[in-house]
Amino acid sequence: MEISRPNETTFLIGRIDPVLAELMRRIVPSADPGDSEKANARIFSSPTDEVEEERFFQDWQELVQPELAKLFQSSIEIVEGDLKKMRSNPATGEATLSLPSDHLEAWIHGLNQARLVLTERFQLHEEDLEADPPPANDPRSFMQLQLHMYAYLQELFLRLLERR
Amino acid sequence: MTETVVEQETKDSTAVDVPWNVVVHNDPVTLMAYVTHVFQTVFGFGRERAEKHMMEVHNLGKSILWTGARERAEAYVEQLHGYQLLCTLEKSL
Repeated sequence: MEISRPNETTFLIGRIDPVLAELMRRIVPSADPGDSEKANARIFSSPTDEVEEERFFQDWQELVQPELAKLFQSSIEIVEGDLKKMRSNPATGEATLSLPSDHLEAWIHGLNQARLVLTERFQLHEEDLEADPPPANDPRSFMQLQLHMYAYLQELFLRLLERR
Repeated sequence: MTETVVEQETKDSTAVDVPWNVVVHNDPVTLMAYVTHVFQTVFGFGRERAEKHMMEVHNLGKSILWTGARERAEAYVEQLHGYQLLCTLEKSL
């Protein structure tokens, strides 16, 4: 992977490995909680643990949660739009992504959501995240790779954000 | 324990308002660097202070990020949920 900055407002990420490029194309579907109760409960977690705050919780669900859903969706749409413009070199399979610097926050957010949703949907536990990779034929091995690559991208984009 | 931001209230508002804590809870999936970034963004902390709170969340399971009036505490909780952190509003003891 090569990162350059053709101008003040854009990062150009070139020579993206084909496997990583494919995983990047899966960010948007991976971040979708669908009808998974656990994934929805995680990204729309409760703002209170106190029983007497039931009214606050109801107001939150009615007023705040829809706004949060819009906010999350807006990040995903930005990621989706940038990915549509990602181009692959037919000879090498390597991809190039042009990333406006003001989209970095949305990417960081989208990657975070994808990691949270994947973990809940596939019921991965803390030990799965830290453990050695499972055997190649174990479906969790692909999920682990996906989670690790998204973490790598998130950290990379956080560093780019500091240079913005 | 990491220093928590405590809002300076006037005498009048202190008399009627119970202080509220903005508490962030540990989540093994969310990256430490991301949590630090969020604390810097939302509370305007310097890196060192943000990292102290992040480590408190990581090591102790939670950290009180802010204490003060209910309305502002709710606004912080909403902001932190916007970053998908596990965050709750709790009465300060």
